[in-house]
Amino acid sequence: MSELTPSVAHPPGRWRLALGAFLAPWLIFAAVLVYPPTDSWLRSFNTAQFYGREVTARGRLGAFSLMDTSGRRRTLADFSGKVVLLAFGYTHCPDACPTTLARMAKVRQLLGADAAKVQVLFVTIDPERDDATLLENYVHAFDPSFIGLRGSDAETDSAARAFQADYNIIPHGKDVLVEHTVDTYLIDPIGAIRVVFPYSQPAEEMAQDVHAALREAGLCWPWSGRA
Amino acid sequence: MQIRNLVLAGVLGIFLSAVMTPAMAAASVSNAWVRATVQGQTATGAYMVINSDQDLTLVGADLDIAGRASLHEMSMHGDMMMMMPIESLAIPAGHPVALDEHNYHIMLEDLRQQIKPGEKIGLTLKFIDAKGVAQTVKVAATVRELASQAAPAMHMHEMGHE
Repeated sequence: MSELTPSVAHPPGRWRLALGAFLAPWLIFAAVLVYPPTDSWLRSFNTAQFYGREVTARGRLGAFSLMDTSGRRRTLADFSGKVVLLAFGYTHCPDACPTTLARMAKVRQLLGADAAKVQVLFVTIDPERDDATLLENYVHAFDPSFIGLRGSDAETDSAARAFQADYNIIPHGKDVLVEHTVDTYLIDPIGAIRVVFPYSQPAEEMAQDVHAALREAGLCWPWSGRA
Repeated sequence: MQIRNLVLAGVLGIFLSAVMTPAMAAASVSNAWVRATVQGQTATGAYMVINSDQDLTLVGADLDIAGRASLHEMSMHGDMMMMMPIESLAIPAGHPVALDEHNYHIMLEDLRQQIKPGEKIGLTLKFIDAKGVAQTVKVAATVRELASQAAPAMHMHEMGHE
């Protein structure tokens, strides 16, 4: 103890501490001047990281104008403030569309209380056979919150183009030959397409991405959905 | 007399078995199910695993309820899912063929009634064997929920019990 007494009387490094405290902000300032932080580095603090395939800024279109099953005209603006999950399909589709819709119902279950901040939209590519009543019955069988959308052929074409989705319905004798994109699109709360989920993306990863988009928009707690 | 009857019975037996054998289907079907529909929906898919101890070709199916059944193939081309009718599907001897969400299904169309979970849907599968002889197999497929998924690994597990 006695050995320490002189140290208290003449604390070594007090000047050095003061100098350090004075210089440190200037050194940081100088470092920022010499090595300015890159935009992408700064953005990494507030931009979500996604499991799905991210859409580049140039690809962010996503406009549509379609009717919902109660006869109201809908555009993406109606769903701003929510994360939208959108897929194209048709009720005659035995495999891909039920799989896609069942997976989105599972995503909503995984989101728990945040499920209310997500809107699932299902756009029929076969408006001729999928009338409003059938479309509503169909999507509601998976989750009563889902909204089915349909339009004229031109409106459907235009919506598909906006998402860079593709579809063809080709008469083939008694049958029809159908092909369509089975991706699911994540649209953020300000209406930009952000992520494309391929058919094989697990529901758990999609739910994580929804949470990431909600966190980014400040619509859920920073720790929501984090493992 | 007794010997003649015995010989006659034997000949008849051989004759009958010879006649009956081709009519006995070589194929067996397991895990057959149909995806439920909603009110107004006129199409859905039927799925199953077909096993055969001889080479067969599935050439079609008949539906017991109103509507029609046809063979379809689902394939993925990048992000595009393609569905198209096919004429036939080969069932090689000893190699079970699964008709599931990832490849083939029996497309049920022009349905006039809603198909509800828990119901049984009767299907008659039509095959031809290597000699071109027609065979049929009757299947009672269980209706499962619209959102049902057949886990690919489940087929082989269930096959093991049969």
